[in-house]
Amino acid sequence: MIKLSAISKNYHTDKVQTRALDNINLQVDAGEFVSIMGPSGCGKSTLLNIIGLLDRPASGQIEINGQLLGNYSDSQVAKLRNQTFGFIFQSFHLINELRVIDNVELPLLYRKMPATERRAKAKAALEKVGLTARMEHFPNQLSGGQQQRVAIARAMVGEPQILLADEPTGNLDSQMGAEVMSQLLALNQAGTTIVMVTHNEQEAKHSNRIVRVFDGQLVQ
Amino acid sequence: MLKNYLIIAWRIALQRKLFTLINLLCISLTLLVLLVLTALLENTFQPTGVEGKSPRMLQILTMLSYNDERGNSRHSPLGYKVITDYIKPLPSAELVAAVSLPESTTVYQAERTTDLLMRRADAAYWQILDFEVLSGRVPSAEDVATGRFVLVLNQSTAKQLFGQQPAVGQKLNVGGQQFEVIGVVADVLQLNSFADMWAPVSTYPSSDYQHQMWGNFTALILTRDAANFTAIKQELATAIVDFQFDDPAMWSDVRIWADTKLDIFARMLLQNERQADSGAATLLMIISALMLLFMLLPALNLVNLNTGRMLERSTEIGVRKAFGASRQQLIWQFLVENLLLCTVGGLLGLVLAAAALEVIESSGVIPYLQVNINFTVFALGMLISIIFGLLSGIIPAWRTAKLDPVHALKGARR
Amino acid sequence: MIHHIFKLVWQRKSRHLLLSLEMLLAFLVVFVLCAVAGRYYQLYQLPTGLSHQFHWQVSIEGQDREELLQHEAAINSKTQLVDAGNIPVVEQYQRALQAIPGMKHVSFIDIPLYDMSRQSTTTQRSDTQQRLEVNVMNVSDGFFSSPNLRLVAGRGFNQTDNGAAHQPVVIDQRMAEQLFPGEDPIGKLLQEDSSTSMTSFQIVGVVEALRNQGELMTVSPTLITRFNSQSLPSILILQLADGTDRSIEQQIMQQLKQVRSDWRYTIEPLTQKRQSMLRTMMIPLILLAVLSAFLLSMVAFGLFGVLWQHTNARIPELGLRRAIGATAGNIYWQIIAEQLMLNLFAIAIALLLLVQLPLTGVLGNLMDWRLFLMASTAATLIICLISLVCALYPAWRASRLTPTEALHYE
Repeated sequence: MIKLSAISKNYHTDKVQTRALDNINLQVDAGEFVSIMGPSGCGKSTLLNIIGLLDRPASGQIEINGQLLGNYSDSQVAKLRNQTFGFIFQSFHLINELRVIDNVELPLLYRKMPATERRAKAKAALEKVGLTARMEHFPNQLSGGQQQRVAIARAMVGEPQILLADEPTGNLDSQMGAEVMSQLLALNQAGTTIVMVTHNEQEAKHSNRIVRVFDGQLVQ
Repeated sequence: MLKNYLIIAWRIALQRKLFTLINLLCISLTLLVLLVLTALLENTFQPTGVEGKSPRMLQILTMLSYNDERGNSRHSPLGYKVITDYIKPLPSAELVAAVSLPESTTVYQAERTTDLLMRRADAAYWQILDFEVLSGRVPSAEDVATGRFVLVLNQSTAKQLFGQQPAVGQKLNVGGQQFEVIGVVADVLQLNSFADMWAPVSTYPSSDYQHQMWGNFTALILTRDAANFTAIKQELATAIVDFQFDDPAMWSDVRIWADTKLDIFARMLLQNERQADSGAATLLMIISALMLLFMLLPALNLVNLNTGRMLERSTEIGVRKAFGASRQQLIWQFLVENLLLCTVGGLLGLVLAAAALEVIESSGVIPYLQVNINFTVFALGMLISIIFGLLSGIIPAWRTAKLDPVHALKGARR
Repeated sequence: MIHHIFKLVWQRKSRHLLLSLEMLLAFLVVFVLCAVAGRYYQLYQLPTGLSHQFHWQVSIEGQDREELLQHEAAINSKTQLVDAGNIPVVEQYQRALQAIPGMKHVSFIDIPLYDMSRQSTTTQRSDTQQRLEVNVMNVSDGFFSSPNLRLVAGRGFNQTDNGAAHQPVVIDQRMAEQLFPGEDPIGKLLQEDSSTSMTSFQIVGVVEALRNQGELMTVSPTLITRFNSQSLPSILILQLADGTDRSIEQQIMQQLKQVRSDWRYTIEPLTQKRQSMLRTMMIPLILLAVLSAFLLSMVAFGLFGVLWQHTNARIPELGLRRAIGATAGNIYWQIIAEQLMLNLFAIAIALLLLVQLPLTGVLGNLMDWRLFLMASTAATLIICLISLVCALYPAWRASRLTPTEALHYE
């Protein structure tokens, strides 16, 4: 489903050039739950961003659903992000000025879809994460765990094939973290491919496969 | 401590060049508008230079003649006879001058015709107003008494008519009369001294003006000091009680007010022709209200910019608070920052205003305008700039400094 | 999407309050400017009834005293004057000036053209007693030969009016509409609004318009009375052959001095008077425009700074949008659309206030609906344009950031 070949990525800060990723080859198959682990600054978030097309590699090739991404235009990449991927971030990244339901609807806004259909889909997604009652609240009226569940609902509302999670439990206590994890597992069982960056060995054990990154390189 | 604040403020200003620049521009543009307006208003109401004696001068621009029974009313400048018969004898007046309003005349030269504004004045006019004589002289009492055809030009007119040649001594055909130029004075744009050229009142083609109740004259009354204003006003009121019209059947009453500059404009704009109160207080209030309204826009602008600036720096505030800075200290720092900005902006505004006035003067949009930014306007500008600084700095600074360190730190994440 | 942007703007209303207030004030300033300019434009398009090319105006001064003497003399013995071979002074001027080559018409009026002065009186219909405040102007027969003074009905003054029972008058269309709606005013009688005066007027003609101050004078009902040869001349209008230049003025002056050398004459080409009149009338507008330009540039700078700050503060949010599928273009347009919407809020409130002007009619016919629409459209466009220009750069900058940069922006 996703195939990375010989991916490299550099970061430039003022004078120093840091190699964030070095010749990465990785394949994720449909229905898999892959955990990416490694110490801070090893490049695992960069790897996730490249998988999710948030960032472009310096060299190497990405294949998604058998299609090679050459020099895709911004709008083509945006369309892929919108339809193929769902994102969950450590700091939730909910828009505080919008109500929960509007936050969940957000990805659908960038598709051509009538407002009623959007609303229905968003409601269904919120139902799945058990937050229908909080639909009209604003994000800062919710607990961290609830906010992250809203973020999951938002990631899933567009029915993406792949869910990318960047330390989804990093900002949560263990009980809330467990709730979020069980949601992710349920999604995986329902057929969604999940790639997750985590620090937590316990959580990683739930996945099919653990990929370890060290100093920009994969270690098996 | 202040030095420390100043250094921090300076560094921050350098770091955020664009904002500093925008902030500075806003402040100096505001001040520019304000300073130019004040300078123009001051030149009108409290002139220095030619009409520098205005604080101890009253004047009469118009008179209202009426007959309420017949429904007649006429509002016009004074006739010369009114000035000689009723104004000149006022005991408290030190000096009374009669001068015509600028009259449009045509000057004929060999191959050119030029339209110019001319005033005809008596000898006292030249004593009350301190014209800056550039060459030659101004008419003497003798010139006026004997009706000599002598002419005074202002600098621009002299240049326009004679180019580089000296104007004094030249002969000039003004509206069919032959005049000799005896003096050149500096350009001036003030209520009673605005004109292109001046001649003695006795050069009118006919002496009829001496017998007219209505004409085209203004009276300037000079007193020893402003304390005599009330006396003059009372004397004038008594003097016109038995005003003699040429045609008493048509006209029964007259209203003549001796006014200061401000009163004149107030009376004109608010049309208070019938009562002694010119409405100067109302006019001042209207002007201040308009100024305030205009200033509201830039003030809002600055508050907006400052609020944004403070919000952006909420992390910095959080860190400072976390390390023990008190709210007072933080507010002080922001105030110093704002004051620094305002002072620099204010100085820049003054420079810009001086340049703008220079441009206005030289462009000739307003002919003969000569205004300087004097010390009062300068001080006013500085004061206003500081008030703006406090106003636009203190609210956002207070709001931001009130934040808990945690929120301030978190604020930056969003 | 518009609904979504609306929600965002609405939710940030407290943060945007001062900004909207500023835009509102700026809009008011621009509206006033546009309204004044629009009003001037409307007036400029209307007919004046005046011609200025190759026309000269002579104003005579210093004859007040003379008036009394002549008046008395005329009253005492009208015949005596004529017997003494004394032609009326008006006649003398006619003859003297007609002697100048290229002189086409000489006419007399009582108030200067393209000048600030105006005179008004109250008049009333003799039949209905309906009263009306009108501008009044006294003109001689020759004035109707002016090419731009168009008659819509009836005729101008001529010799047949001598000794008529009622003094002949010509009115303008505005007066005809107000005093004689739906009627034919020709032949109708008017009288001066004074119980003592018995003077009555008969309308002999209707002109399209006659506005003595020129293009920028407001249109108000105008009554034109007849200048007869016994009247005291004060303003002469001379129409000269095409191509005449100002050198003719000395000759005119000579001829005038021949008639009366003790009076003062001022000769001015009307073209020049018109220009200086237009300039004078434009001064308030120009002052307002300069002031507005300064204020607006200040507002623009401020707006730019504030927008920049707002966008900076929102970069993580914009990054998120990019992550879930917004293109760079989406982000760009979102920021611009938000700003424009905020603008429209402010403008809507300002318009709610301003619409009271034509609704209540405080300004009378100074502000009609057309002018209101014109001014509000123009002001809206200007304010939106300023907003747009100020939003372009911050929006472009925000859209250029890659999603990862944006998500981790501090």
